[in-house]
Amino acid sequence: MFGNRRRLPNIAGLVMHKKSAFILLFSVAVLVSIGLVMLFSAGAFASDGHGDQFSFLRKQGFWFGFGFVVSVICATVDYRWWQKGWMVLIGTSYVLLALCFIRPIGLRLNGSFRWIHLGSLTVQPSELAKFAVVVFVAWWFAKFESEQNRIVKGLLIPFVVVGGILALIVAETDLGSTALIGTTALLMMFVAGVNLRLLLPTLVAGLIGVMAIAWSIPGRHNRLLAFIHPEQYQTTEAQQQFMGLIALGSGGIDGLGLGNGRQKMFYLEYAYADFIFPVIGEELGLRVTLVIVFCYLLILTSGTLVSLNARDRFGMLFGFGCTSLLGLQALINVGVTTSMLPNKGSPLPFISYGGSNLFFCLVCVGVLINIYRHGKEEANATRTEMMVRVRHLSKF
Amino acid sequence: MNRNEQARAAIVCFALVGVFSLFSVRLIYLQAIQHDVYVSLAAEKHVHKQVIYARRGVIRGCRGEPLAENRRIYDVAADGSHIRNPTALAQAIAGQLEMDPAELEAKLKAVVDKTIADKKTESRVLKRGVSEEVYENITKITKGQRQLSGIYFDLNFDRVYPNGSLLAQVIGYLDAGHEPRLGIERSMQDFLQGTNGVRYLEEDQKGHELVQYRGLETPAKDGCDVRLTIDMQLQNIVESELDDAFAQYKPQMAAAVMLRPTTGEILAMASRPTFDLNDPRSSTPDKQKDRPIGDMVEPGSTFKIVVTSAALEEKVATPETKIYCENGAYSYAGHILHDAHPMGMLTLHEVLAHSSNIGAAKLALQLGKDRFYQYIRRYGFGESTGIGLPGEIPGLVNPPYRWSELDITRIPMGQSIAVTPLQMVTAMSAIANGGLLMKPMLISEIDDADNRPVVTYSPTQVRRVVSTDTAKKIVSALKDVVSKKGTAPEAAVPGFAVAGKTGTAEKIDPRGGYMQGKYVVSFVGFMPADDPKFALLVVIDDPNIPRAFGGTVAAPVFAKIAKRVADYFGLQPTEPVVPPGLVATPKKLTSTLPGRG
Repeated sequence: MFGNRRRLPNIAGLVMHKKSAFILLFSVAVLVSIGLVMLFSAGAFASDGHGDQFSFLRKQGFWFGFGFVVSVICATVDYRWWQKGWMVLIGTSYVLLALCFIRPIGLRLNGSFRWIHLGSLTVQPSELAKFAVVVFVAWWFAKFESEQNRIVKGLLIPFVVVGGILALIVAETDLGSTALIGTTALLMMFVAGVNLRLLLPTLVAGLIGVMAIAWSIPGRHNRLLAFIHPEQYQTTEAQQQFMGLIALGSGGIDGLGLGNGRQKMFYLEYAYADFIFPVIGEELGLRVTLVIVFCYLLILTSGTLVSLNARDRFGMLFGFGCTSLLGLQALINVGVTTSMLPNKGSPLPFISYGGSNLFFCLVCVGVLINIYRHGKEEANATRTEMMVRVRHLSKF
Repeated sequence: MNRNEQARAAIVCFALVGVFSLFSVRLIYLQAIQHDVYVSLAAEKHVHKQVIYARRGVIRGCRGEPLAENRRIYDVAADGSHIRNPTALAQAIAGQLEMDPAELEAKLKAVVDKTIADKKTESRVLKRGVSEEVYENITKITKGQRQLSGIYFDLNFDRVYPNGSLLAQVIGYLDAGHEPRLGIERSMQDFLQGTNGVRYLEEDQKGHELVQYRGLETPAKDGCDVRLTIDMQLQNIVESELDDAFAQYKPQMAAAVMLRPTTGEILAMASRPTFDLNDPRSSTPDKQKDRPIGDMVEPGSTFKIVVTSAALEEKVATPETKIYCENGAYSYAGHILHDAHPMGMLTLHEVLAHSSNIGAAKLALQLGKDRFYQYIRRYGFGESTGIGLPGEIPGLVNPPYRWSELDITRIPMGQSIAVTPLQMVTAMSAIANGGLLMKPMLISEIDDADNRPVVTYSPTQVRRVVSTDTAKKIVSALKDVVSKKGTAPEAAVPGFAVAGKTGTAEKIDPRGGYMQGKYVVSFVGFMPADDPKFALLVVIDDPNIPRAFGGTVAAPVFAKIAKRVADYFGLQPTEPVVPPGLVATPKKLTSTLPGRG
């Protein structure tokens, strides 16, 4: 039956959709491989490694293994299961984000309360929060589709829930994650069909809010100034980005060769984490950086295709949320490291050092695969229906 | 799912794809187009240029003994990022550095604090120029002690002069900025300094060299060694005797030059007052002046060799030609010229031996201005000898058209003319050398760092000034100068025939005219007279005693030096040694007072 919810059959889309999961997995595999190799190279000189050059690799390897297993589970278990779990996710997020501020569980690093100790592991609750918000927004707008343009029921409640999480993350002074979660939520609402008259003022208010907060935190507003006048702040606030540019630029087309980068040697801060992209550019050159950008493009498009071919509205919004979570993080990271955006801490998905981030990125991929698997059945059914119709028409 | 959702999702997707494309363009711009710009920026950040210092050439004496050499010294510096325990470190090394432990500790702590505050390695020099011994001691103390890390050394070179003040003005020195001042150090700078090498190092942010990235290295080219003709033994003899004379007469200045007449090699060259090359800061320009080449003096009677030899060479006179000496007062051009001891008829030989001013003036008048001037120039006066030292002056010899009417009678006796002591002794050497003027030479050889000669200098004849015959006749007259009947019997060296000439010139008053009672006295001679091994000039400016003459002040100094030099050279006495007191009294001259001039 061609119901309201049924997408119109589209042969080209179908073909692309069939391949989209493989493209997605292939891109992720390429990125993870580059990531592990480059982490070994970039982390070898980092002071946090405590002299053990395999330290980063071992920890990241553990998180990759763990994430891979969970991702396979996500790909197997029906994604609709998450609809029931949203409350657990949001609740856990709130608790863990609050725990960040409580010692000795919370860990203060570089003036931010972003981490908590969980046994011997250090995790970043904002990573969980990103995922929880995606699940929650997808569930809310799938459930209340008809009321989504009514201010109280449609918007106010999700705003309060998401806003609470954003407030906690802002208080952690993690503006990068705040902007990412806010943007992801807004994009999901836009795709869900929320009226632009409601969305645009929210967007503007959000932007102004982030800017105002950024300006008010001492040290952060210098980062904004540094973005506007990079030369003046070359050795202070803009140093990291400037060093990133030097790394990228001096790498050239061919790069200096794997392991030959100079900038990672204490010139470039966080060369193994948020600023791993310039190290890749320095050592492997333009070809590989373009391949990486292309991989993110493939993830973005294949993820969108998977979402559009989802079985139901929740799947579509969920898939789209996961896709934009991955795409936006990559976008912010590449933008920051190429000095196209002001310096905000944001990891490069699948590549940067950071267990929590890698884990949830892999979970997102698992979820997308699951959405694809369920969507594919439906698409097959649609094609059968089409053939029936064609046969039916040919009788006349 | 409706079309609206699809369209909106597609819009978002395309928008993000668009931004990614923009970033790709940015990447291409950064990595392909701006590549060169960033490569140089990166090099600026990473590559550190390290100078490899060239070893400065050594200045050596004629036997290869070093007169100016290099010593390894170290600058001691503290590295803020490596200091672990400032207190322990200060306690451990303060003694070696001869610093107050508390003060040193404060310094070290300041370095550490600054490193922490700036998040950048701070290093500071604690002490400059410590010796190799201190370096070794500190290295021994701190080696392997983690608590005592944070000290490092920068190698440098220091110039040292083993002989202190000996030959000071000729050798020269390097000032605090390693710029050469004075002497050979300055004139031979291009050979001595060598070329510093360069090593390009890549460093990480903490300043450690990345050995695997060591780049281009241009090795240093060490400077060349300069070997002088100076014999430090002779230099020592000359300077010690000059010191004695300086102490005895307390003159304003004194100078002495010794050279080998047959080759022109300068064997010794001294100036007084002098200074210590290792401590040039406490000296004055006056002490640093190289007098034999930089002082203009009126030569006085020593200059009479020019007019007499010219008269013989031009056959205006023979040694036996009689000249009437006007009994000590000769009126010419409205002025009266005096002799120290009035005399009647004298032969040319006697004019020189007794140093008659009137006789010399009359010979010059017979020669004429132009011929006389020619001989002055032939002896090398009025031009630099080209000895290769900074600050050499040509002296002052006016051409005949600028002479006053009186000059033709004054120049023969060494007035109204200015020469350098070196020119004087060089001219005398020409007589000693049979009339052949040799170019004075100070540098015998320049060797590169591997001791291969780069330049070898050999004796150079400038010109024949007078014939051998004329020279012999002058030598014979000069021998009489040193005899009892001459003006300088005190220059005699028992057992040897000495030839020489005294000079006593009134000092020129800078305000014009002459300074009454102030004299520049000199003696220039050579020995043995008929086979000269050395020529020596002694000049003493304004000796602080009454009745100072070349014969009474400079001649004894000459004799003392000559005696020691004869011993040093191992010369065999050629003349019978007459015991003192048995000397026959001269017939004509009863005066035992040595003649003036």
